[in-house]
Amino acid sequence: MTQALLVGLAVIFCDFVETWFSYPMTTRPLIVGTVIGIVLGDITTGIVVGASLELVFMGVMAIGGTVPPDAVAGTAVGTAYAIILGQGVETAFALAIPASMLCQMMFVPFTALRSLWSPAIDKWVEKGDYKTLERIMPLVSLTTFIPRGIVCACAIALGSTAVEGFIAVLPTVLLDGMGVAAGMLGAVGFALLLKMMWTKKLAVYFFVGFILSSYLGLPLMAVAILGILYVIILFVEQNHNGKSASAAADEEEELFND
Amino acid sequence: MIKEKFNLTEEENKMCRQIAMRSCTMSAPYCWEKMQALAFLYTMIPVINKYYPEKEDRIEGYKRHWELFNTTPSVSGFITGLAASMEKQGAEDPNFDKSSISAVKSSLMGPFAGIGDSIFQSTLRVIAMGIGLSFAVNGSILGPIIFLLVYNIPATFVRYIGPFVGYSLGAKFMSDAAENGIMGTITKAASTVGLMTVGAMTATMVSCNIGFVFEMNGAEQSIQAMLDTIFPNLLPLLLTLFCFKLLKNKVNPTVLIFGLMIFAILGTWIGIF
Repeated sequence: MTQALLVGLAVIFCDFVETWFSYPMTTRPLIVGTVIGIVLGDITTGIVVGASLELVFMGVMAIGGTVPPDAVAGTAVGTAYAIILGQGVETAFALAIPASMLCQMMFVPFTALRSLWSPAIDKWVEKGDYKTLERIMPLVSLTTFIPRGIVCACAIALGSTAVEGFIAVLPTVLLDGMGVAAGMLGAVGFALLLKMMWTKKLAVYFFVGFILSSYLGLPLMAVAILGILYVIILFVEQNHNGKSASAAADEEEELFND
Repeated sequence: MIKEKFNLTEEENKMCRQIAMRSCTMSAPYCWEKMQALAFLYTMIPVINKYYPEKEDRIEGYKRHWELFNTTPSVSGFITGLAASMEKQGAEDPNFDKSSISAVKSSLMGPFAGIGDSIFQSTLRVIAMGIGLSFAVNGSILGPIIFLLVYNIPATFVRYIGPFVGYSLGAKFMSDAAENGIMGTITKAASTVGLMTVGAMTATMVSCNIGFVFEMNGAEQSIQAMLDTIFPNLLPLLLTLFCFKLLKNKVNPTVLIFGLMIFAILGTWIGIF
């Protein structure tokens, strides 16, 4: 019960920090896993589970009004069970992904709860009552987060015995398969990222990065720095040419057009 | 230092700092119909109270900002700062058309969301996460800490500087920047670096190994070892591109995730993996 409460509070905490401090990335699975690890007393497991869930949810985020799988709730529930039941990453996977799908469905109605404040806010605006408006902000914000926290807490409080029994009857091939899936699901995360960034002209840089890492074995930091340097070179060249000849404009378009 | 750079008075400097702090809450009261409107209003309350002493003017001002707004929170400071400079103009000049404030807001939120998402969400986050994950896979606490630091140090700088830039450069510069392609160039540059890091991460962080072993001339041959000598990480690359292809054909990611899980379990059962 205490564990359930701690998990619920951890979820609310992560959500609150994320939205009140301009997205410091505290709702990424890596951080949520770590926070759950801290409150449940097993940081190492929390980080390891968070890191492998991060790969799956890497490309998952709300862009342009879409509702992605709820990575926060999924990670919280999956990590908590991995720690409470003393099981590994496979268990966390088996639980985290269904949990994130379930919470995805609740995301829209939970956020809609905030709209209940709108008529009251209209009235305060009409009256010019800015002090109330300032004071009401945290409450409006929490209107969505508290139900989310409660759902996660319930998933822990109600499910412990049931989940333990369920995992005991699972055949090993299923859990081994989950282990394999853990490695492969990263592909979905990266594919989602690619879908956002991919343009025909720029696609080649994806393969450049792949080759640099796969054949040359460069660490990620080196690839990122090379990328930044390359972009700077392009930019300097462009400016240089732009001053001497107007033909540079065409070149610029060639380099940077879709 | 920032104060001198942008030629601000002590008072304006204080106001910009306050706007920066309040802009950070931009997505906190997000709701479906007006999105970030309440946070924008929250940010503008001290500005309106500062420039408009009359109650009627203030109420009109509050109403002006209790309207739909949505952009990437990390770069919202540029727009809130700009709105503050326009409110100042509006208070000083009776001929100033105040509806232009709303027009500028709504014309800038799209481009800024585009540039903010491509720099922060797709590039900086992915690079920071890649570095953090390389520590975190072994359970090291350095992983999450490094991730947060690498992401937040540059991001905090932009969050803080935004209102100062928006306030002092004003509406003309911002709309010029949105139109003349500066933002497009930055977005493309960010995408280039982002794509390279995603390529590198595909090679190191997606794993797909064939465990199947067959005998040839009496010696055991592993298919995976053969593949690795020709093209290391070929399978992760193909798998990622295959998922990308499916996503582009409007396959739901949820379906894809479950499909892959079933595929992995079946493959383990048959003995491919």
